[in-house]
Amino acid sequence: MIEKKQYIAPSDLINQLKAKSDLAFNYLYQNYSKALFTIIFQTLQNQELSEDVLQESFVKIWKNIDAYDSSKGTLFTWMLNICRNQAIDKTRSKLFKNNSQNQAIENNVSVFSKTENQFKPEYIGLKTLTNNLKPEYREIIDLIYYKGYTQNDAAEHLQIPLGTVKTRCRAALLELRKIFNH
Amino acid sequence: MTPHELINSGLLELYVSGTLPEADNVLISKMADEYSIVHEEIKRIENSIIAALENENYTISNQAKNKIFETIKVMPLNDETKIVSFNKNRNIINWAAAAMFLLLIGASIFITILSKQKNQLAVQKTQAETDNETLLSRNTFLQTAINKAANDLSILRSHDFKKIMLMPVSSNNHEMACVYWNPITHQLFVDNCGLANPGNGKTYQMWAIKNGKPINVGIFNKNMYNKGLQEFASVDVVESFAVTIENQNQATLPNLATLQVAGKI
Repeated sequence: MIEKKQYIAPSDLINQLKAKSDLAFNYLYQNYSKALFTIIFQTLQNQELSEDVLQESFVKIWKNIDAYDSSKGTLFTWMLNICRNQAIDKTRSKLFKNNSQNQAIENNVSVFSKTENQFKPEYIGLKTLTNNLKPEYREIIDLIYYKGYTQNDAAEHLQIPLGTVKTRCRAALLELRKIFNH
Repeated sequence: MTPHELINSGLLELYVSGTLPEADNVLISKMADEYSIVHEEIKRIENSIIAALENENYTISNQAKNKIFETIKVMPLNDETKIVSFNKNRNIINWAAAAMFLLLIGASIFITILSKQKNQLAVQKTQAETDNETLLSRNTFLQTAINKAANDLSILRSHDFKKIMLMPVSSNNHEMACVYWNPITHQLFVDNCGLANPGNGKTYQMWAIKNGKPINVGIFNKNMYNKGLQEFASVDVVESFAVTIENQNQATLPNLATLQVAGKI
């Protein structure tokens, strides 16, 4: 089994995935599964459903790797979009709505509202970010990366100019780099 | 836009998030291919966001992980699988074609055998028909012979017929014949079993003697030698009968040289 610290160049990884290499898939899982799961969980807030969606997402990635076009984005971005869309699709499912309803009754808190336009930082479980980032940076990362807002949607949602969205996003990522030494 | 302007614009962060329009993505990918500084910056952004996400306390259960790997494992490999599948189908088609070919050969052999058997049966049928005809013919012949024998027997047993023995006229001759004559109906039958075969070009001729004059009764049927009684034309009151041996043409009058047997009533 390939350890996470081993490095495979993206182009090689993609070629190996296209050749349906088990080792390449293992590498993919080791290096990206947790990040992708976090994205999914942020939307669904349910362990079981999130794991189901992760499975569906990896199956989709595995099946559709030939459709990946490196000229339109990185492999991670492509996978991020798949997971985010799968999670959003799941929020429309009957099962998710039933679960959300039950959870709302139990906690007297509308978890479902997290997926709606109104931003509620208390419901995004980004503990590390919460502790280390300014609230406006947390917001922009949540909207852009977790919820998949476009810059226009984010600008509209936050009621800030388009240019501010870009600069704030960059500033947030620079802060993250400092935190994780990247 | 220069690479540095692009890096500082904040567009690369949006590029990594996958929220830019496709045209912008294509443009940035081209810049990343051309400028390593852009490429490296994208990698750094990606690594930062992945690190941030991984630092959250969410964990994937081993059960879910195993399920993912098991699902991937049982999935069709790639398009080659389809090709294999197609080949399998083709193999099935090939097998089916081979089976059909063998079936055709088998059917041809079967038809040939049947055809041969049919011809043999036709020959046998013809033979059987011929045999049948022969048997029928033989049966008819035998039936005729039986009828004749029965008829001859009835004559021999009948008290209405007189039996007249025709004895040889010379001591060198040992031939004889027997005449059965009905004085009432004048029917005349001759048993020629005592006469030798007259030989090629010769025939026996029957005569009735009435008032000392010979009357030609007829010649013996060649096919009737040793085959029971031969009927001749009716003759009325006569004194005796005689048989001569003649050339195939009937004689108008008998002579002593050709007289073979004779007998009085």
